[in-house]
Amino acid sequence: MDGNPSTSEGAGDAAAAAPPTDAPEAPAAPLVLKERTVEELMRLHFSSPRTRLGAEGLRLTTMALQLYVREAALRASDQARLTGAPEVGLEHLEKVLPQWLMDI
Amino acid sequence: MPEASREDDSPHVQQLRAALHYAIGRICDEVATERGTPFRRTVVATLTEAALSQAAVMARDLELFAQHARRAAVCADDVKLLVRRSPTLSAQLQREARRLAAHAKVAKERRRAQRGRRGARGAGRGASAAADPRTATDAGEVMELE
Repeated sequence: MDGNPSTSEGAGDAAAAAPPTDAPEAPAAPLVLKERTVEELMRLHFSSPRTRLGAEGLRLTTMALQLYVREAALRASDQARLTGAPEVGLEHLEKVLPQWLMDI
Repeated sequence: MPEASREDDSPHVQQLRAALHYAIGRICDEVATERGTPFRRTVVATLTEAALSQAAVMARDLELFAQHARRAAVCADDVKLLVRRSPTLSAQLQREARRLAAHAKVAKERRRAQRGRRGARGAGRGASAAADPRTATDAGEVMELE
C-alpha cells in the first residue's frame, strides 16, 4: 500500500479540530477487541432474532469497530498535541467527536 | 434514545460495557505509546460510551443491509457498505476481506482435494480446523497452496 497523506474528509472547522488521520499501513494487527464481545453487542441491537453474523462479517465488524475507535483516539491525541497539552483530555475528545460520528 | 436507558441497566449490558472498556483502554494505551501522550481515564470512559452508541447504529445498519439483500447473515459486503464513508476504514477492510476470501478459497480447495483422495480409498471426513478464517490472524501468514 502507498503512504497517502492525510485527507480531510469534509473538514469544516479545520483550524479548531484536528483533521482525520490516515491510518498507518501496518499489516493487519491482531485484534484486542474480542469477536464474541462484538457478536453479543450486535445481537443486542438486531431487531430480528433471525439476524446473525457470518464468520467473515463478524471478523470485519470487529475490525471496523476497533479501527473506528482507534481513529477517535488518534484524532483526540492529535488535538491534544495541537494545543500543546501534556495529556489527552475530554476537551480534546469533544473537539473531534462530531466529525468522527459523521465519518461512519 | 428511550430504549437505551432500559438496556443500560441490565447486567448483560454492564458486562459488554466492561469488556468494551477494557479493549478501548488498550487501544488508547497503544496510541499513547505511539504518540507519547497519555489519555485521561475519563476519555477512555467517554469513548466507551460513544462506541456503545455507535455499535447500536452499526448493528441496525448491518441488519438492514443484510435484509435488503434477502439474507439472514451479515456478510463482508454489508460491513464494506457500512464503512463506505471512511476511505481509511474501507481500504483496510477491503484488504482484510480479500485476505479472508482467499483463505476460504484455499481451505475449500484443500477440503475438496482431501475428499477426492479419501473417496478413492474409502469413505471418510476431512474437515480441517485450519479452514476457519478467524484462526488466521496475521496478514503476513504464509498460506500453503497445494
